[in-house]
Amino acid sequence: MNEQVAINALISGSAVVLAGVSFYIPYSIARFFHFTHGAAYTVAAYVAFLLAEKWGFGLWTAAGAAVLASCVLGFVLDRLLYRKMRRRGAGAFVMLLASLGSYVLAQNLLSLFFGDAAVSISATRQWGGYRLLDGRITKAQALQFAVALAILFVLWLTLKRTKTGLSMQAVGQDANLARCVGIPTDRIIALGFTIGYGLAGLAGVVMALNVDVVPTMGMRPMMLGMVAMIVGGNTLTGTVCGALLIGIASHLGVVWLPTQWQDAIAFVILILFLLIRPQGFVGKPVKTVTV
Amino acid sequence: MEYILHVLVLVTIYTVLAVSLDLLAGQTGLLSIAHAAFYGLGAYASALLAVRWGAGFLLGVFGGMVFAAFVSFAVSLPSLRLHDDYFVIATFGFQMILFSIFNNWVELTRGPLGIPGIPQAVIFGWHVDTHGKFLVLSSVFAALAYLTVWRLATSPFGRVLHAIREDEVFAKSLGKNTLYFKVAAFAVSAALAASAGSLYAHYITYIDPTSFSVMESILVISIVIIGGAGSTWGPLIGAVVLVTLPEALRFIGLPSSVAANLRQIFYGALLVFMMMFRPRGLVGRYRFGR
Repeated sequence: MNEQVAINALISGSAVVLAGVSFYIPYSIARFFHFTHGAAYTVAAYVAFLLAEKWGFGLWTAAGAAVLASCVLGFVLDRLLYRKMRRRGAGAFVMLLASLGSYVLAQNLLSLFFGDAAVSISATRQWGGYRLLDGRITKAQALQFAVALAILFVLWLTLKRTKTGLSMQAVGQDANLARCVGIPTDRIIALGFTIGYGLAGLAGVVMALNVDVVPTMGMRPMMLGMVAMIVGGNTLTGTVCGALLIGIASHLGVVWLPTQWQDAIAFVILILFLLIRPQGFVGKPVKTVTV
Repeated sequence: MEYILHVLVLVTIYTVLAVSLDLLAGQTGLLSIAHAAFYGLGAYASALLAVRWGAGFLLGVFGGMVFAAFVSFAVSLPSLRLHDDYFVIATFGFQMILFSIFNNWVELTRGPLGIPGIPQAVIFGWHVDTHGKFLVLSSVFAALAYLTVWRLATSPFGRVLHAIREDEVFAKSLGKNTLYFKVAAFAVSAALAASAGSLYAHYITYIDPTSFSVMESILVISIVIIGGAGSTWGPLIGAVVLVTLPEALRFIGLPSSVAANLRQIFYGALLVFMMMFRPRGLVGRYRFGR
């Protein structure tokens, strides 16, 4: 029993890690809360559903296409919307509202085309699972955990060790200065959205293998990812720590509280952090007042 | 005719919501995504007062407003430690927590089943039992909310709010206790939103959590911003445009599920469009995020 709770908490933590990291990457470069991140999940899940269930492609093809689709979503959103707004000198606030509007738009377009009823990908039903210590873990969950670990490793190498990664940090810290030293800021931001939304799409596909697909499914991981990033304190390491805290705490909370309070637990943690430690785990100031 | 009256009642209820959010977003520069939560607090407070304890309409409205104002302290004090977009995210968090309470505290709110059988409003023997009568009542509420916000915005109190919006550090340097002003504006705004909730509960006579979700908050924000934040007529114009225009979809004869999606698409697209080309809204003067 206890092993099962621990395993489930880790799985839930790894899901939030994926959400948090994929939210963090575009945020760390473009510096605004992009609610469209939630749409990347849903788009990927529906593309995977469409290909795997309706058109009879293999699961891996469908998953690849779905990730590609959410990469394209991120790139197109940046090119058609966010880049134009940046050039008009829109602040983080206006960008947040525009992304909120586009999220509502995307969610309702999806529910217009696919309907509000839950659909699911049946290929994983016969997958079965493994025994681990005294608990059970489904194959899809194991896949999710492995994917989260692999992505973290690759991302960490990219962000800390490559020139592109350093450019991303530079643009996030001061876009104008970055442009002065010859970094193609627009391209770096577009790349950030492409990678971030692609990762969100990957998480969306993994989610679609585990649970039902509905048009509103992207909202929850987007929120949890955002909370993880704030709680962690706006760095890659911090986001991962925050995500583990959120995922594990909201799962362990279920031991004492009914399941439906999971989301509330995550947000209570957010509020507690904002009250006691607004700069998050890692300790850099989240926001400074400029005079 | 009944249908037109119904749409007009909705316009007045959304006017109360938009005007009250404008006090916070337009006048003070604090954009809150928790507005639907306060709307819901008012609705649930007066519904429960009426259904469980048989309280009258006015007592319900009063109870809801006081309750929402008190809850607003719990929301505003932590959120106001943050600035700009982080403030928005904090209020977003409170919206999710309060929605979760509406939806999950089944013993009190009956959760997703909602509360049916809320009595129609009776005020000193005047039974508000038709759409026409209710329109009179809700128009009075809209006018009162409007006057309250207008009076506050043009008073010395409102000038401090404007100063906070333009440059909070400067307002502090003049010796203003800006936290006090922001908390007070938040409480007034929450109480007015709660009065809209009471109106809604006694008008529809049934409430469930879906009416008070984050999507509803986004709708009210769209109304304020598309109309024009911080202006005299902006929220009113926004409410008229965003409530009546999607009603036109009904006449094309679309099935209601498609119409609901199209309505949301309309709000979303309009919000994106305005943010891109005219962030100050139709008649607004204040531009967010300069």
